[in-house]
Amino acid sequence: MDAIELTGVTKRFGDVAALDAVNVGFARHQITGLVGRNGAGKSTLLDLVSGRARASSGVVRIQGQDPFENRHVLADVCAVTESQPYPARFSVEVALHAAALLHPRWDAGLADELVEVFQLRRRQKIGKLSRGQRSAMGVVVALAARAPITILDEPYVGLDAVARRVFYDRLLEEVVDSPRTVVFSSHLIDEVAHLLDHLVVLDHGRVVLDAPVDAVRDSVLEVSGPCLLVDALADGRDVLSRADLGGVTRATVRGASADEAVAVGLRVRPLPLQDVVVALTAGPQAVPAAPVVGSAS
Amino acid sequence: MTEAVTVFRILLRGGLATLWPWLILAISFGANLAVYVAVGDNPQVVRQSGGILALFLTAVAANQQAWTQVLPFTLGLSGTRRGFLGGMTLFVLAQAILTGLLLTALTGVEILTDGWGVEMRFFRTPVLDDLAPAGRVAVLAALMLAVCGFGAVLGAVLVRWGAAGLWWLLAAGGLLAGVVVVSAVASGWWGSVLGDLVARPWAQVWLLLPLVVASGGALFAWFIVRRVEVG
Repeated sequence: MDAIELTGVTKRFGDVAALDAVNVGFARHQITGLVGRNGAGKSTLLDLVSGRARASSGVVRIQGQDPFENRHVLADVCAVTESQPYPARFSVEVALHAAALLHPRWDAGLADELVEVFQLRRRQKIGKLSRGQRSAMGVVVALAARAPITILDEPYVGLDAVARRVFYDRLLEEVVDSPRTVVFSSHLIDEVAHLLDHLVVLDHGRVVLDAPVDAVRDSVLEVSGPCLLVDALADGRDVLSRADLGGVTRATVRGASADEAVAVGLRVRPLPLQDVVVALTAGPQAVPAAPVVGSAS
Repeated sequence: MTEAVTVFRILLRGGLATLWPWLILAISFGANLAVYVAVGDNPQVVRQSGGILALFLTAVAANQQAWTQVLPFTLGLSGTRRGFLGGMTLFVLAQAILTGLLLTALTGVEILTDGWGVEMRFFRTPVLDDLAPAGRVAVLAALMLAVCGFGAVLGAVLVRWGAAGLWWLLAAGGLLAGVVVVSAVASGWWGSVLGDLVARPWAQVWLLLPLVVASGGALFAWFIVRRVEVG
């Protein structure tokens, strides 16, 4: 059983379906990247999982139970979002005290260490923090909570490159030391790619890809060579992009293996994960009906 | 530790904004005292001040802020709406009891000092003059509960529907109050309602009525936020 399961989940805001009959699972003790374009439904999905919102229809389960208004389940969940709501008049100290009270596995020593690392001043009012400092607060909460289910929705907005690197390194250390299920929504796909075991891509409120990261990388190739050879390779497969110049074609093809392409004389370039996601979600080919690669384990 | 107690502790650590009404009350007291010192013992000056209302009016805003800021914060840290309501209830009860005790103690000081040396009636009010200290504590606590109930409704509306929701609530409330008053005056039962209230035992008017308002406010606020979403 997956740690988090969504079955036929739809979330509507008026006439707009932010999520449309989503079926997806997030495996235990894996870091799953949740990616997609703005408005794809990522934050909505994470709000449902963290009990901040309720599905219009369908079933959301964390470890087999509905998280909405279920403190027993939510005690195991720590969700930190880009727009985490903090009372402006609370100090950093008070906000961390509150986080410690609400997360039973809170590691005060780790919190102290991270406050130093991110150079937060405990007595400073949250309303006076910069965007990056607020994000650092969220990172401290996310890591020190040591929650078995950790949900991160672009928690690094405003953090500089050094601070982001510190965050990624500490997240990996934490997951190795005390395995947990992490769902990490991010637009900086290549920057976080090394953290991820699994990838879920949302587009227009539907899952268009749900597969191990390695399989995703292998599933899409950029091939180039004579038009006829490329056409032969692409026959019956999804062509996510294509450019013709004279008799030479460059195409991004889903479902072809590198060995197969090389064998017929084509040049192959493996795509960075971000390019794969862009190819899957950027064009008209990214219509939600695209087949799902693999499945959550 | 239950979630309600956890939220109560968070509100205690971060709820210092609820002290603002007491600061406003202190300012109101200082201003009133200065005025009565300035006018001296002029017998034409009314010695009854209404400054104590500052505490109750500003307490509405302080409690509304607790809802608009601490409820989303709690939900963001994996708390529940039910847990917040429980913690807020404990916090409001504590505020009400403290209010009753402090105002009654200050009333005692006011009596002992003959109105702070200038015959000022700041903490004393005619409707409570005949009550024993225990009754005074109970009434003042009940009034604070009613005020907190009103603040809860305003806060819940703001959390769920934002400023637009608050304006709709105020517009609808004003309209309803206007219809009731006009109907009462037109049908001639306005006077009988007031007469009936005056004739009732003090406990019904000054204890039961505020407690009904407080309970109604809490229930209404819960009805509004039980499915509120934050993101």
